Amino acid sequence: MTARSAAALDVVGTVARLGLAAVWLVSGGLKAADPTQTYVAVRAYDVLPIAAVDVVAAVLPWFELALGVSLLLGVATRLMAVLSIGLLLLFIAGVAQAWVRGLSIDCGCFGGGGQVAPGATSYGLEIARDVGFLAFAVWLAVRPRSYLAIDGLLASWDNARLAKEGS
Amino acid sequence: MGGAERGDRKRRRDAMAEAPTTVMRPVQPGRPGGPGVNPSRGQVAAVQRRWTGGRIAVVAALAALAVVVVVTVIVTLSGRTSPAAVAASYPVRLDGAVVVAGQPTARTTVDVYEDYLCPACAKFEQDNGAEITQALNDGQIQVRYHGVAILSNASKPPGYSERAGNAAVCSVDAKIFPSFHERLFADQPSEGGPGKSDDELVALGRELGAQGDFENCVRSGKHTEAVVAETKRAVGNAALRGPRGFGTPTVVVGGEKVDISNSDWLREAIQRG
Repeated sequence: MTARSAAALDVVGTVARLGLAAVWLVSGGLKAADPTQTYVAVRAYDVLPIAAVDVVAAVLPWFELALGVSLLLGVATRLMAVLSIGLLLLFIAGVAQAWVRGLSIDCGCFGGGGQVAPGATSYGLEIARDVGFLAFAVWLAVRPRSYLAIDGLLASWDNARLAKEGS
Repeated sequence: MGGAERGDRKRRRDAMAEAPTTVMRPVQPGRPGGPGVNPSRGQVAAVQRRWTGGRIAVVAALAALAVVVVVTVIVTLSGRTSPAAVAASYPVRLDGAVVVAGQPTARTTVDVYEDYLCPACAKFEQDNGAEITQALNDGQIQVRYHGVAILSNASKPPGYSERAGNAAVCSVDAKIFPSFHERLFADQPSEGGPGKSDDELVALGRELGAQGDFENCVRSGKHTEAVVAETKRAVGNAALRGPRGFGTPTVVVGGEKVDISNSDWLREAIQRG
């Protein structure tokens, strides 16, 4: 592999890392800012017992924000990518099962005059979006190297130490 | 920073090209220091056995995540115990389909718009029910409960919102409104399902000690028209609209919509008088 193509792959990795960081920061931020809506959204998937909905709805925003910060800084990128894959797969499974069961995951508390805004069309879109994010995460899990990452600094530190002790 | 970073990166790549193994490669037991082993191998393994930067990052990140999860779980679980059930001792009367709760002498009037199928309303009751009951008991507030039916089509078959709204109005004459209202939200059926059947609504009323002809009131839909009319009034009221139109729960104090995500909204409303 030439240095140039490696650099190009590093650029792709950087875009994937910062993109995925942005996804989690925005998603976690929105959820943290509106706990009621988050609770309602988690509950609307109708997977968890009510007692667990509270806890999941409370943890989810902060977990997402933590993933986002870690990815933004480039700390433990591969681990964060793997956790992101897991979380995204859970989201996709949640939306898919709600789709199959015909649940209205748009909460539906905004109807206006007895009509529920048709949420049916957004299921596919939501899954497509999550699959796009999943692509970022898979790239980083396979090849976590990128620019402007603390991981890179740590690795060069290791290598410098290694080279010193080896000589 | 980018230039220095790239410099580091290049050095790192060069170092990796020279080194016989990458940093993350697991140590092979028994090899280091053995006969005929390249001496640098042993030193590489020694570095691997110690804390490498990558390993520190992974452990630190895992620790941070664990702290985030544990703290939020603890905060949630400890917060959950607070809304202890308060027995209602306030009077309730009807004004059309609007349930007026509390002493008429209360200085503050709170209008609450709820749909019995709306999960956000269930959450609102879970978070605020005990505090509202306490303020009603103490004669600090009067609450006008508007049981609106905007999620009619969110049950299969449609119409649970109306049936539940009607039953809640029936529960006023049956002298069980506070507990019936609370239970409708605490045991809220999920959207997309059939909702509670009339039989289940009647059984719940009986369990809570309904008086008079509660059963007939529920099955005949005595107040359904009034509920629908009240819904139309609420939806048509511009003062109740948010950015996405009229939604539930909507809480109004003194003609103004209240931000119920502020957990002190009730205390502040009472203080304002």
